[in-house]
Amino acid sequence: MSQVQGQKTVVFVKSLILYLFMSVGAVFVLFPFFWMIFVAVKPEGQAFSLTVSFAKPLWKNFISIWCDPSYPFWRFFINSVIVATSGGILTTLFCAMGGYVFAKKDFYGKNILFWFLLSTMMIPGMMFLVPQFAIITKLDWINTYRGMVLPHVASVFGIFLMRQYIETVPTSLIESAKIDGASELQIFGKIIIPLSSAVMTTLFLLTFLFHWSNFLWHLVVNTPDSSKLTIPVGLALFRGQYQMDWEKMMAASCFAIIPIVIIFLIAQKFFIEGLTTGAVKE
Amino acid sequence: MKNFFYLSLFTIHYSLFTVFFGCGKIQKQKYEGKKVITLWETYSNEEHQVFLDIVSDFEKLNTEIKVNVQRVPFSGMRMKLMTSMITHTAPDIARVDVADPPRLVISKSIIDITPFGAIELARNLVSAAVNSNIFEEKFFIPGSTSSQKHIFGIPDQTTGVALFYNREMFRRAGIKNPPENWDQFVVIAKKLTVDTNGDGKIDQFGFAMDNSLWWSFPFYNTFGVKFLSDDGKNCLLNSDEAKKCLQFQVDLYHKYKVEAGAWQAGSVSCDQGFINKKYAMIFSGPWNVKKFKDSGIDFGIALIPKGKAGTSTNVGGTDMVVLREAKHPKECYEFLEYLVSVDAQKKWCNLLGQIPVNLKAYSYIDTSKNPEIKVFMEQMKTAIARPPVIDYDQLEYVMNQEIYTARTREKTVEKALEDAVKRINEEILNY
Amino acid sequence: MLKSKTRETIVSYFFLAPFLAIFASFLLYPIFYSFYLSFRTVSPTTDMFSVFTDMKFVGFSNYLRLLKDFDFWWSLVSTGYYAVLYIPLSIAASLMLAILLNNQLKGHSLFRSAYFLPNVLDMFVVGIIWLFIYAPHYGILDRILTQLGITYFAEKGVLANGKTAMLGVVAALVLKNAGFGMILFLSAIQNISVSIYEAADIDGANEWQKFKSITLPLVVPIILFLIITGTIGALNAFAEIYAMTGGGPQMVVAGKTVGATNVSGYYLFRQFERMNYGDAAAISYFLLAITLVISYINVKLLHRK
Repeated sequence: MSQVQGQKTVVFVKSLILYLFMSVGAVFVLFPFFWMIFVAVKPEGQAFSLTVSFAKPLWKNFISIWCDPSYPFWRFFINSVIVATSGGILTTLFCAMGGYVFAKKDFYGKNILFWFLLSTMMIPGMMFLVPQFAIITKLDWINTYRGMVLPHVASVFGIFLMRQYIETVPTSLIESAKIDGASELQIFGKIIIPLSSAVMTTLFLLTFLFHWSNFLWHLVVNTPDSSKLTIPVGLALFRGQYQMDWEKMMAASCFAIIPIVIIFLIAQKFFIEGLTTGAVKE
Repeated sequence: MKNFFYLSLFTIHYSLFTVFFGCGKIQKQKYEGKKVITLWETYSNEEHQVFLDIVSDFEKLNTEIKVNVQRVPFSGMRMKLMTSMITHTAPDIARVDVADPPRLVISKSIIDITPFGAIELARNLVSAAVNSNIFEEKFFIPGSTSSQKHIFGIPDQTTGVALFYNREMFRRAGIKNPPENWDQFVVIAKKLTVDTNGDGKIDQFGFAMDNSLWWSFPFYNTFGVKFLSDDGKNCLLNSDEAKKCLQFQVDLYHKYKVEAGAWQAGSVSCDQGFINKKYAMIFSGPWNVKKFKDSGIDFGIALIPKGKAGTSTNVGGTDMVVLREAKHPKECYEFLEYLVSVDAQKKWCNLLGQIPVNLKAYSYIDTSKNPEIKVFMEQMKTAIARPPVIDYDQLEYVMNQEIYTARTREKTVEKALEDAVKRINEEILNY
Repeated sequence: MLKSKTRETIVSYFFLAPFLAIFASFLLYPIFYSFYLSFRTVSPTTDMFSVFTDMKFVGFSNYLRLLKDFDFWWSLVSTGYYAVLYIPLSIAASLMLAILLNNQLKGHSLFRSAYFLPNVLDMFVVGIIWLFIYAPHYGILDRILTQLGITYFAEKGVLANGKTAMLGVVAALVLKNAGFGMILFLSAIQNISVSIYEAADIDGANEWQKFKSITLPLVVPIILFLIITGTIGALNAFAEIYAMTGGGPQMVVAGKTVGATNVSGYYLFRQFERMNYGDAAAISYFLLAITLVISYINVKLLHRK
């Protein structure tokens, strides 16, 4: 009896310590978020002042972001959502398709193609900026969503990630589906996609993030008067030669992370769903 | 489930298709019969509003010209301009950093505005600012030896730093006036470097300085340091003045122990330390006046302390240049002319608290509204333009590296300057 | 047999078609073009309106200049140092998080979100926070350590000290990115059925033994993935350096001044910013060659096993 109780206490203390540890860690890694909000509610120019003073009214910066007629934040926001969502969907789909065949098919040129793709990943993306811009100009895709999205859809990282995961899907499942007369597309749609939904969600999230913060490319493929400018370019407008409008920038950043947080929370459901379907494996 | 899957796949594809290929390009606005000038600027929100106002004033006076103002983030301007030139989508006028003109001139990317009478115009402008746009013929014409001066741009904004000091700290230490020369500066700074809470650790420093070359120009310029030989082929930083000057910077930290170490990577920057009352004196410019006032510090602004060469400061700011493929160069010039006119400058500087680039506008500046600007206007008279090298960024880079090691005492002052001279000669001047 | 492989090939390329089409149109040309540029050079007089046609052919001199540049060699060393610090630390941190946040803990999804969220932040915002923490005199870390009697960081903080600067940058980045690795590990760990652990419990295995013989083998593919992406991350490292140290602090190595955190990605960025496209391209391909040689040796060694 007392031994069981003792064990229970040990377990309790253990989990208490764990909770404490995790909570302190969580507060620590989330500190930048608190700081962003803290700065966003400060009066202009006071970002780095440690004295606690707040803008009057408190939400002044948050409101002024949306209300400034010369600063179309809502436009940036909508454009970013369109660009990041479409980029995320296309990349995830294409990479899942590619990753699937690299993981499960035996075809001519597979290894050499895979190693070629992988090695191109070692070249810093900066090198492609100017040539890609030349291509976009040739295609007359300046100031278009496709110009912003398509060049970055072919993500070797995505193919690699998908391949690593789809490899863990048991081949026997695919074989038995084949015997049942499933077509290639059906196998992909009904076995591969559901089983790798967790990692596809991760890839979507990462691609979304990539597009969400891709300042340089969005700056270059849009003329400054373009109606397709996105949040990163908008945020950079707060950065001057010598000074920076930190308060407005952080207020805008607070809004900018909301879609990502929402997507992450939705994605969490997918992680878990994908993981429970994992029970099918073996 | 299956139907749902295909349906959603279809919907996604369809919507992507419409997003990508459905809506065409934006409609270019038409200005019938007007000469349209496209201008890229990098102003802040506040400046942008005033700039638009000035542009509309200009358009009222010149009804046949339409200035199409477009904003580019400051940090992305160089990249944007570079890529746009490659694809021939560059604007007619661009606002560039004062460090940019040399490269733009030598590569013939911007046009010579001398024929429009710009030299005449330049006489009225703050010389330190306009000099960054004036080049001798031998600089940009290969094989030429002529020193004939040509002008390639108009400064739209000029700045320089002065000495900011915390009045409250001065009062507490019983100091009446800001230092006039570097000797006084050291004495005062020593009095201001104190341990306020008595824990044995210094928490208020007399002075804080940045590491970069640009922020150190006030030292070099007041010590009378010459950077380049007259022909621009040799770096002269191994001179005695340069050694004395660098030694002084090193001493502020190591010998007098009045400097906070703000020049070190990752330390509390000068601005932050000043706002939070940790640093008593810093160098700063007009752009910080409002911010400091709003944060409630009682501060004053004084001229940079005098050295052997008197008081002096650095020059920063931006220039407006006309690009080679501009369709209406003459109209572009007319706009630049208006931009630095007394009327436009009066409006710009009084509304924004900035230093005028036009000397004639000096008398129209309402110093009762912006008393601080008076010091800056005075300071700019003795400002010295930065060395005219093609790759100023690399000069900054080399100097930052070598000076840093002198300040950490990893290299002696002599060795650091020697190495700097060697690298500047090799990498920048005879590249 | 051969026929079925042909069929597989057709199907495979059908699946790969969208990816390859985009890859071919937007990446293939830039890849070869930048290789071509690595044999050319931009001079100050190069016409900026037609940079690429006006670049001079210089043969291998871009590469030769690199070989002679001490700064470049140093950037390789610091990149290696970065990788050696970053890869094990990030793998360890994310694996630890994944194990701790495995389903058994209540409120795990809340914690997971908390640890993943820093991933979405801009490096500049994260960098500023870390500057506050690391700063000398006023920084949080120094204040705490001084209370404990450690004054090592009092004068220079973390980032102005050549010995600790890289570690400081890497630590910040590891904490920012650990959530991503955590998710990857979690999806593998959660596939392990609880019964296996229970069976191990009955056999009297302790936590470490369970980790070593059950968990670890299952996450090896993910560790491999993180090693490769970590290497790529090290070669591309830029934003974290730019935001926190700007390549500094400067220190003297073998009589030359070098930046303690001047990694190759940052070095490349500087060349690019100065419009030295030829040099930038040469750096990229030089690095590519090095990584290919290393991975070739790796593959050979692994196969021998």
